[in-house]
Amino acid sequence: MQHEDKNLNSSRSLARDLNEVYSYIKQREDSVFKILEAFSKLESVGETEIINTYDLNRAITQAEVYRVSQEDKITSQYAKSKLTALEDQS
Amino acid sequence: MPFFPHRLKFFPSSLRNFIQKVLDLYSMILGRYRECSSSSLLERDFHLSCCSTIEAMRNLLSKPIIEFELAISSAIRPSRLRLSKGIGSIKRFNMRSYISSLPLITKQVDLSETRNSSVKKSPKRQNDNFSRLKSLSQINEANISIDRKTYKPMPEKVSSLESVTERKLQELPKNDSKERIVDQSYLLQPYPVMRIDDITAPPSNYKGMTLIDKYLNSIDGILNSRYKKMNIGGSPIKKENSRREYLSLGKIQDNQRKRGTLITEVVSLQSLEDLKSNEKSSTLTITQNNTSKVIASSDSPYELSRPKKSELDLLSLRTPLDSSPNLFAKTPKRPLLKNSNLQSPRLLAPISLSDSKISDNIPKLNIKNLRLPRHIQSKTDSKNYTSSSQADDETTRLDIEARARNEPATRSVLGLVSPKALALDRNPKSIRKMALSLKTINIDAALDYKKIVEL
Repeated sequence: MQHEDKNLNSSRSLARDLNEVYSYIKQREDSVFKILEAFSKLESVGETEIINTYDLNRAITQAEVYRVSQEDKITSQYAKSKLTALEDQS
Repeated sequence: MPFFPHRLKFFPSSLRNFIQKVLDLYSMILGRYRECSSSSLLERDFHLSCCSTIEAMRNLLSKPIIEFELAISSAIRPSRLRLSKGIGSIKRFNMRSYISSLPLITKQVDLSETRNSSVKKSPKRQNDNFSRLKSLSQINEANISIDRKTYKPMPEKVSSLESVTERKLQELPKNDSKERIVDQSYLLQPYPVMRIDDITAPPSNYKGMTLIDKYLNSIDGILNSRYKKMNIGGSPIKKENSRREYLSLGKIQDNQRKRGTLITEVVSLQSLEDLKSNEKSSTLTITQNNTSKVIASSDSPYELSRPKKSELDLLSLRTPLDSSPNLFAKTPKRPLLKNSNLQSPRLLAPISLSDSKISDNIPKLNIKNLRLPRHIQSKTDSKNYTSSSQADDETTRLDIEARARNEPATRSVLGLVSPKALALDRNPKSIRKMALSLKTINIDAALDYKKIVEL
């Protein structure tokens, strides 16, 4: 019973982590669309637009760093669990 | 049975749900990428990437076993690549557009305005700057044309340049503003100092250094030649010393030559001294006087101060009568043999010459004549003797015979007989034989002299 509960908790945590990863992917795609919009506006170049684009780039870059770090953290965590499961099986 | 049953057991629904969610997301995004018409290249690229992601998700869902790493990587990696690509493209575009939109700033513009000009510079102000630069460049060209006439490509002093610059500034119209004048001076000053003509110009014709080098080379040559000459015989000091030694050696040799005579005198008169031990030898006083003369006559004080060993040996030949320790002290000159005890009646009585003549003759004695062969001595002496008298042959012969017979000491003084022989040969018979032989020789010599005179 305890082992099944443990596996259930881990599967729940996995679903939560995968939802988190999905949210990150969604945020990233939103950022990509923002960049594409800014890029479409750059054809009529102006100082204000340039500064805004610079700020946008800076914000997106910082957010992307956080997203990447979180995704890597989750991936590494489940890679360890995979190894432990293999050891248990053997 | 699958290979990883635990994965199917623990992660089937969550992973499949995740992949399905991502597939739905990119299906939705695919329509948005098509809507985005900012850049055809970006749109196409992003569209293709989105399509590939959807395909990958579908492949994963079709598989019975879904690997965690593969599902995550296939969902995350394409999105990351798209975002990084978009950020890079927009950065490049921004940089290109930012540089192109930057105002034209040069050093020729007023520095105060340049410092104040921020990124937010309006096109109107840029146009003003361009117009100002244009006017300044026209003024600068005019000044450059003047400077090319006035300045030469030779190196010039900064002070002269400054003075010229001030003069040019004074020539400007008074209507110009202060700022313009300042800008003009700023433009004018660096021109003569850093001109392209100066950099690309051929080497200057300035001959000052070449002349200096030539002069120094000539000095070096002279010094080297002199040094070589000085060093031929060693160092200059050595050469000087050798020269001094040579000079002193010559004088010493001369002195030694003189002293050699004195030595012979001393040696020759040594026998007389032995014979006349009770008498005070005037010849010894003569020798002492001569030595003192020799030493005193030497011009160099070096010899006086530093006599050689030979000199010392010579000077150490003291007679028992010589009691004066200081041989360098000048003995008072006195007429030789005038008051000496050598004036014995036996020696001086037969001589017809006066004492003063004898005393005059004695220092002039050349002892070398004593060493000559006897027949030469007799000839020379007879000639000298006969030349003094213009008598006939008979009288001459008689005189010579008388002197030869009776006055051996006189003959020794005149050089006919050596004092040594005189001293050694005390036998009256042998003296007589010697005198007779001398008589015949002297008579023959006198006859020869008469023949010469007659001829």
